[in-house]
Amino acid sequence: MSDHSGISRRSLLVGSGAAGVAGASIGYFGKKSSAVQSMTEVAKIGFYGVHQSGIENTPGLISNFVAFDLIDPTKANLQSVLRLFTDDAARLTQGKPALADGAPELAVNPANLTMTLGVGPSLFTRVPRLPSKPEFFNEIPAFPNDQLDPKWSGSDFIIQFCCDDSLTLSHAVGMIAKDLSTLAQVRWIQTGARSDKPAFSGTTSVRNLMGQVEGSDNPLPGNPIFNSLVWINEGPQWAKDGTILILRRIQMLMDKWEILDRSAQEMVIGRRLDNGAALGNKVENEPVNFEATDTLGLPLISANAHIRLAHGASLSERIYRRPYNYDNGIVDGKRDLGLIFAAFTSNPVTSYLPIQGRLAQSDSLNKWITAIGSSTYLILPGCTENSYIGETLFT
Amino acid sequence: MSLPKTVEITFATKLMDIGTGIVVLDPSRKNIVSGPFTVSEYSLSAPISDSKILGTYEVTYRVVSEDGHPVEGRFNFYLGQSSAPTASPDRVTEKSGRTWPNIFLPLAVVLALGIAFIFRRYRNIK
Ligand code: HEM
Repeated sequence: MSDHSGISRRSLLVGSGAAGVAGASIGYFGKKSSAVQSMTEVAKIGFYGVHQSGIENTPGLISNFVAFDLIDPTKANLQSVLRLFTDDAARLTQGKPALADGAPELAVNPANLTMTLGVGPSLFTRVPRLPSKPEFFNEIPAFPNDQLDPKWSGSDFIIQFCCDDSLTLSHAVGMIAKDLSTLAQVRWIQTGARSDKPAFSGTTSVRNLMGQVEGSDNPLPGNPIFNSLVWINEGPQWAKDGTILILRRIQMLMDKWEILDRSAQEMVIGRRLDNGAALGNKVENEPVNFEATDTLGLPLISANAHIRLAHGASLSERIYRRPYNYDNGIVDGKRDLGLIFAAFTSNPVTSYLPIQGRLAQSDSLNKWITAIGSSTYLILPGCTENSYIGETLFT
Repeated sequence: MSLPKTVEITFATKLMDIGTGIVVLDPSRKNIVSGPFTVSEYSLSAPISDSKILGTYEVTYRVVSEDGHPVEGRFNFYLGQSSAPTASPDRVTEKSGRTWPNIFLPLAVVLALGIAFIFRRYRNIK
């Protein structure tokens, strides 16, 4: 409850109004952190806005997805969590120490830190008197090949931390876990990383641990349909301008994958390994011709190629993918690595579920991947300086 | 005289269903594969539509063996008389209990020497 300097983090914030908070923080940090704070004019991503950060901006190089359960699931406790989170995130993402920060020096390099909070479907059954959730927001059903482990699946809420510096990231996660410790328990943490180099020059796609170019056909921010694909615009008002995160931990069976000929590996996806071009195309960004044939007249992108099945049947059946790689070292003599598949959509029922349904049924990639964790969260709308993330749930 | 309902090719090695493809051209060069193919442990089969055209039918396929190597191949069969020189596989067996008068028809094509052999033999068709 109290940090080592004896100042109660919660007493500074919860229960007192915003003005009280500001007063307390100046009193405490006025002298101590001024030198530190002058060094912070570095890479940082704004916290306030219509939408939470951590979705539209380029993903940081490393991430932590931290899943929490409320200890005592009351509305008041949830509100305290959201207020504490907002206050911490608004500071830490800007290179400012949190209130009662035990190691303020670790906060000065924001390194593009983003902190993004989402609530799980379980919250709405556990916490009494919350407004109802959108009807398109539910746990993801288990798919036939899934081998889901509860230690990677589900929770009352999640915080996605993305950052370019491991020290900053550790500090932010530690700070939040400490500040929420009397209110919420960490259920699991998934640590991810992305390559810091594009797969080749002239692309924004990066390679995953299978060596594939990932991100070729992804509706990125700036795409005219990004807003309608990603930001919620139907259902209860409190969720408007939020989005739904689908988070799956997908293990890659590398030993089996590596015996495949390169050309066979390319057939599994339907794209080339070197430059990500769809089979039959020369470059990554050419529109995919799913009817293309080779000189023998055989289809180049086979019936069960990953991109054929994942490709949206309509313009609205698309998801925005923002994945990370994970590598958990060697477990029981086997490499434990894969993809933290993170996708955002305004409506999973009309986009994600049909895609995943087709993949589960016949994706040839299934032989080399296994989903071992699966969760979904409603990423709350953003907030202004005078409010907090999730305030819309209480008004 | 008519065609069977499916073409089935059996291999000496187990298959993986990656990049699989099969095209069956009738003598007018129309693809008569009429539905999704099936890959079972050792064989690839595809339904074909009925065709009464006499002449050479050309089967082209791509499979991937269990050890991860893609293989493409092609062979012909005939309805009625041969209209072109044959590139038939080494051994052709018919499924028991069915006869196809006047047709040299591999209902089951057993590639006795395995796909490595077929690969070598047909790789130049590209
Ligand atoms: C370890 C698991 C996975 C791997 C390694 C993987 C890999 C890839 C690769 C290499 C591409 C082609 C490049 C690109 O467009 O990004 C791709 C495309 C895609 N993947 Fe996956 N993927 C995985 C899981 C999933 C899952 C679980 C889904 C969704 C349910 C999914 C949905 C998509 C979509 C929508 C595309 C774009 C298809 C298109 O329209 O062309 N992927 N994936």
